[in-house]
Amino acid sequence: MNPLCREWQSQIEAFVTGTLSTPRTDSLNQHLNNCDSCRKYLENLRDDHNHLTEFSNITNTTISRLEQNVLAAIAQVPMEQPSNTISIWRKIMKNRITKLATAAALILAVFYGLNLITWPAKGHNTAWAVEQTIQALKNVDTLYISGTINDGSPFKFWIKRNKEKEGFFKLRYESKDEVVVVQDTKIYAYSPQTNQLQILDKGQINNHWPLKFWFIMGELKLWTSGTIFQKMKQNATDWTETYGKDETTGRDCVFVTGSYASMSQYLWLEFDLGTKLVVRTKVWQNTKREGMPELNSDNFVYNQEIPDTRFDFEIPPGANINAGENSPEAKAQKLFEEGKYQEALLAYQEAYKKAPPAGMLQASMLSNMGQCYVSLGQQEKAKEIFQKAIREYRDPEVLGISYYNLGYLYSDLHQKDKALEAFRNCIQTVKGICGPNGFPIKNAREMMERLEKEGNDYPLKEKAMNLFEKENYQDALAVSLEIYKKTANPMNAAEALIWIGFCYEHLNQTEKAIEYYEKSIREYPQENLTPNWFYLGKVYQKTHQKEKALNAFKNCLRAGKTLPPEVFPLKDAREMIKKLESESSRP
Amino acid sequence: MADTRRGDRAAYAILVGRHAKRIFAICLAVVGNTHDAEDIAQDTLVKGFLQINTLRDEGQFAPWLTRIARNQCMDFLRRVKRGENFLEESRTKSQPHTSEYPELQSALRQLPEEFRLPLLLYYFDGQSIKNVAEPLNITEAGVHTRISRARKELRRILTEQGDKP
Repeated sequence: MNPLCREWQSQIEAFVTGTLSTPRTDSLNQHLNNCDSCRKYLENLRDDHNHLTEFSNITNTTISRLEQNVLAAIAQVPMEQPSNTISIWRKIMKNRITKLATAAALILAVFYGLNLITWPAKGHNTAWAVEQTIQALKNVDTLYISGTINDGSPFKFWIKRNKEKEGFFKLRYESKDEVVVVQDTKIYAYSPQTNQLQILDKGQINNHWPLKFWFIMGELKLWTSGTIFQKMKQNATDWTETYGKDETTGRDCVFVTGSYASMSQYLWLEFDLGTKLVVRTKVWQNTKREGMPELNSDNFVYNQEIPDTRFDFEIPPGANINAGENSPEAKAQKLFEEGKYQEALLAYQEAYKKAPPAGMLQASMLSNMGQCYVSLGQQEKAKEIFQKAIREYRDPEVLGISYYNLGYLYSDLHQKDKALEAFRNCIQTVKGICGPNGFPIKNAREMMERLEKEGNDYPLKEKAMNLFEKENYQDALAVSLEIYKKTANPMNAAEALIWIGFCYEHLNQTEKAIEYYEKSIREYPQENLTPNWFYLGKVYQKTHQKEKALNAFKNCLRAGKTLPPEVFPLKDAREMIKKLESESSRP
Repeated sequence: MADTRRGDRAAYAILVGRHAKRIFAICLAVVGNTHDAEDIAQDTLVKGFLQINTLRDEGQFAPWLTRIARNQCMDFLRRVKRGENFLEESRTKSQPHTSEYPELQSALRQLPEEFRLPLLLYYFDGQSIKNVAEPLNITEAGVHTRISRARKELRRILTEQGDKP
């Protein structure tokens, strides 16, 4: 390329990719007419461009295969996903859902399970197939169900389809613990025990999972495709269909059963072969059908006139009304989910005082307060909170989660034995309550396996942490160097490099500190690099290299772009930048 | 996204359709061959589904998934580096796919990652320069420069390869 033509290069690039403006294209063409080397450059570039485009196109089959494989792989994942999120809110949600999911599924199927099901009846007898039930359901406008739930206390359930507006309905659910009324777009949830009433509009429920559940029923997001039965069948580990007689009426019927390991449930349904509709349902909170069923309904009344007044809701005198997102716990939860941990913490502390004592709500808030402290880097405070939860909330599910939280915290603090003990306690506490693959049992098991696997590093890491606490940086340096040398775990190696840098920094060997911080950034770009950049910035600042410090803090923010803004060290980095910039703007 | 968080596979399928090509391009840029890139992209997208509840800000799905992809690639490269059976396996596994522009793939592998990634994101994902710049934390001008240098470097490597007997 002629050095004089260098300025045309970028225009040729833009020309090849079709982004050059028309006037510039004209002048480029003029130049090309008279310049062999630029023409050659253009040809080569065009060749490469075409090759790359073609290469990209032929990989389209790879992409299709990739998509199919991913979808096939996630289809194998059990429906109830164990999550790493250590929040009891999810558990509360799960409780509600597991208690009523089957009833809900049936009700939805009753009203909306319209088509798309291609589920041939199993075995030789085709007396019943789910399509027939779906067909029969199309003529159902109202349903009343009664039965028992939880400890055998009665519940009643009414639902009425809105004939004019598809997808809208009225619903009333009553049990000794709660009354829920849905009126098309409004929901009332009242707890007689605490005298708390929540009122929400459909648009307000995003951060309110337990109540959102009822609207999901209304919006049918999970069931729109009408494949709920199909999913129930696919996810059951031992699906059976047995033909027989109803024990009371003697009518022909089919009994359908299935168990769900991930949700720790056993489901039993009876369909009438004449009407093809569900007439009885039972759900156990274990997969072996042991003990009393959690949900037992043997009274299904279809198409009986239900007056609209059944769905009226009168606010009980003296009820404490929380209007949805304005409730203290909902506000705190929103802040928590937004990653504003400091504000969330304060909001939780306020809400905690107002919540009914020793209830699930308080326990869940305590758990999230602990999480806030963890995220703010205040591990000791977090430990206190989790230990308080263990002392005060003896409900096995809550207790199990508190143990899990504590174990997780100890593993973060490199206290392996204490972590293992907490995870063992967690498993022991929730054994039999939650399925082997449910939260937190599976997570605790996985954490124990991880701790055992990384066993060799743990004593050293704990030793280093103790030395850091005592501010004995000379010995901490020796231990950190040993970890870096010996470990087979890249995460530990990356961490050891920061520790080494940290020790050197505190031993006033700033050049060495910079060397190791930079090394950690260079060698482990896949790790979370926010602390690395932050500490590097601090050393630069200490050594009066303002520009470099500023860059390092900015890189820290860049590295933490996807993290909540208050997480350590992002907030500190922001403050440092502010400080440095204000210093440099001073005359 | 909220549906995906509840484990709705159909909702996640939409996200897969939207992001598969980009994730594949990233994996290809890092590991350098289509076969391993496909495997790692698959692991990434499955992991995305399994861990969706750990994503706090739904608006950050794309960078979050990109981070998973890069971590998966780094894990893979480390394993290859350590020779934990993967080297041989990946070499033999890569054989059937060499028909997919072997020279180009080999040339791409030789490009420095800082050039390779913008180039592949641009070509594979059909992204605008602006959209390539964002997740890589570089300016649009930076993307232009890198793509341009990548093309030049690619040309140099391909020419050298062509000269070989």
